[in-house]
Formats: sequence, structure tokens, C-alpha cells
Amino acid sequence: MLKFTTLFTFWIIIYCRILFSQAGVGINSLPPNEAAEYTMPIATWFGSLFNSGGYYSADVPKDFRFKFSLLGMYIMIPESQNKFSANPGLNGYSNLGETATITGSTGGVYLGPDGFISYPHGFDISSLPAGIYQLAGSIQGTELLLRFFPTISAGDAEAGFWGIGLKHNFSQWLVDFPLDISVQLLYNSMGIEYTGNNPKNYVKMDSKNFAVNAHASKTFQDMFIVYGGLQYESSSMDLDYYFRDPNELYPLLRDKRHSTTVDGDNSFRFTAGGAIKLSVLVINFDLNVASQFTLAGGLSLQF
Amino acid sequence: MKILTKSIFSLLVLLFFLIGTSCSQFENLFLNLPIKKKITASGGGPTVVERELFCLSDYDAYNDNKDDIKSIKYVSAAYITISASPGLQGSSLSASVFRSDGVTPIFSITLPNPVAANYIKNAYKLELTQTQIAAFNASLADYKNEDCFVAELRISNVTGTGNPPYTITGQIEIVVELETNL
Repeated sequence: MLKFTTLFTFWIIIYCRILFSQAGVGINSLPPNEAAEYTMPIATWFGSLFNSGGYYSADVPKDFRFKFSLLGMYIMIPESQNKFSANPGLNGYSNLGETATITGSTGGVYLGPDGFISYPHGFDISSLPAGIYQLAGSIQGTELLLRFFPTISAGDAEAGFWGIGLKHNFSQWLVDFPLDISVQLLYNSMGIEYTGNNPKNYVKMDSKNFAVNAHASKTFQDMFIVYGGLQYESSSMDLDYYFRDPNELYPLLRDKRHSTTVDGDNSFRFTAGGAIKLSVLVINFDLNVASQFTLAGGLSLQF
Repeated sequence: MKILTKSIFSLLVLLFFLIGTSCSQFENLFLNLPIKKKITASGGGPTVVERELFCLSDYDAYNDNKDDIKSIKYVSAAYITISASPGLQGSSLSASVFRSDGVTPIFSITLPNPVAANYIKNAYKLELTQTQIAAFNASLADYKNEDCFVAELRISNVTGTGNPPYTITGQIEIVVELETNL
């Protein structure tokens, strides 16, 4: 089980490593304002990932309960996030057109008065899955949720994350209310850093994700759960990287480390799903209508 | 219990199928590599010409991914004048690229205006013919054996408002696309 859990969670690290070792080439070739535009879908993806899977029921008992969950998410990246308007901020290089973000396809090549400016290609992906695990303990209708993965190295990058959630069941205060209703706060943070030997490849991403939701659920025959909720969420990513300037158009910026903050496109999400409770085991699946449409599934042990 | 086992198995199969499907998307990555080669030519005329060797291995994007390259393709080319002697012009101004032997031509483009200063802060796109692009791509495909090329800047029947020697610094720019394995 430990091995499976580690492997399950390791997927996210593997993706991050791939994104680092190769996408670094893309990020490192862009000035800060355009690096932020290029990486925006990934900042949003972190938000989509970490702001998913917070619940499969609004019921939080007064007695002590412990849950361990494996979560899998399949996150779809909309076409609109696969490109951005190239705006290098250089004289004579305006209205260039669109170019790929990190999830897009073809990087634009434009000719201006001082020569070519070529943009990095993207990975040409329309979806990115991920898996994480979480623990939760509850008492008196209040649940504390924890997510943690220690910082580990994979290839030339290291990554780790942690998250915390707090939820309270408000329907316990209402007499004979037909639904369970809870409010939940979530905060998740993930850090990834290039640790290889080439300082020109340096990239560091710190993703911070916040969400607050109200959700409701109804349990039938103590076995079937239908649930849904509305969530406000935000994500941002601090990006530190080495700018190589392969286009040789930014003499004052090149060959230095730069920092920028990337705001994810996360705002509201509507979740609807169902779960089956079989003794201590709960299997759930939900649809999340958000900036990046997300399918989330979970396998939980609940005592 | 059978239903439970089937449900768990189905969920895991679905999850790993989705993950596996997405992993296959990470097989290839394309990189744009801008090559910018400055050439300074100087002389009293009537022809001022200079050649410079440039290699793909001069560039980080190539060196970082050299072992994973699947193919290299020509994307675009341009010429820009960086500086020139006052009034420098000729009967023709041309930008050329040869294979590393300096003899086998890949392309040679004569610019429409032979006044060097007209291309300062005014890059000119070099429109290659399909034959020239095919020749360039054939040379790029041989990158494992030879990744270098020769760039040439030439002005014929050069004149200027001052006395010789006449000097021009121009830049030939070429963008190529690397397809790499992840």
C-alpha cells in the first residue's frame, strides 16, 4: 500500500520533472512578463489539482472519524489557455499575433526591425492527470484535512507539497434538515526547483492555492451519497528563473535570474458527484466545472 | 464483495489509462532555435566580402538537447545591417549560406536595395525558394556529421561617401526548429 501510494503521488513529481527539464528551455527564453503568460496554464493547473477532491460528503459526524484518501484527477486544459498574445515590449514589435503557452502547440516566429523574435513551443497537451493522497480527521462536526509530500529529487528537479483544509458541518445545528451542508477552507502549496548543474537552466516555481466552498450532500441507505458544491478558488505561482535571451533582444535583462508572479485563471467551480460507501471503503467520482474542467475520483478508507 | 473489487479495479484501470494516455503526449518536444551570426566585411573594393563559420553547437538549445534530437528543420531567415560606413552601397548586396566546406551553396539572396544603411533597424526577410529550403533541410538532417555552416556577406562594386576602406557589419539570422524526444 505504501509503495502504491508513493507511486500514485509520484506521478505529479514526474510531470513536474518533465516540465522542468524540457519546459525550462521555454521559460528560460522569455522575459518576465511573457514567461508569466507562457506558464499561466500550469499555474491554473496547480489550482485545478489542489482545489479538487476536498470532499465527497458534507456529513461530518460528532464522533471521531479518520479518513485516508487516494485522489486521481484528470484535468482538461481549454483551447483558450493554449495561446497568448505575443507582446515582447520592444520598439517595432507590436501586434505580433498569438503564440503557444506551455500547454499550447506552435511558438510564433516574428520578424521585427532588430531581427527575429522566436517564441518557445508548448507541449501541445489538452489534458494532464495527477494523483495525490490526503488524510482527514474529524470530531464535533469539524474536519481537519492534511496533504503532505516531502520534497524529493527526481532527475534534475526536486518537488514537494503540503496542504491543509478545515471544514464544518453547519446542518448539524439545524433540526431535521434534509441535507448535510458544510463549509470548507483549503490551502495548498507546492514547490518545484531545478537542482541540476547548469545555472542557465534554473527555474523555481512556488504554487499557492486557496479555496473556500459550500457543499451539500444526501446519503441514501447509508450507502449512496450524492453531493455537490460551489467553490471560490484562486491560485498564484511565484516563478524564479534564469533568462538566457536566445533572441539577443534584451541586453539589459539577459543572463540574470528574474522573478515574476503568475496568477492562475481559477475563480469559481461547481462540483457534482456521487459516492458509494461499502463498509469502511468509499469510492467517489465528481465532475468539476471550472476554468479547467476536471474529473476527480477517489478511493477512501474511513473509520 | 465482488462488486467492491470490480469497482476498485475499474477505477484504477480508468485512472492509469488516463494517466498513460496523457504520458504518451510527452513523447516529443519542438524547440525554436534562433541563429544570429554577425559578419564584418571591410575593404577598398570593388567587392567587399567576408565569411564566418557558425555551428549549431554554438547554441545552448542545441547542446542541451543534442542527444535527443529527432530532426532539425529550417523555419525562416533574415538579414539586418548593424552598422556601415557612411553612404555605403554597391551594385548588389547579398547574404549567402554554404555548407561547412564553403563551396556547396545552400542559398544566396540578393537584397532588393544595395544601400547598406537601409537595413539598419529594418530587418529584411530572406525568402528562400523550395529548392533552397530543401537543400538547407538536407544539410540540417546531417547534423550528426556536420553541424557547421558558412555565412557570407558580399557587396559588389562598393562605394561610399568617405574614403576606403569601407566597412559593413551585417547579421544573417536563421531560425530552425528542433524536434526532440522527451
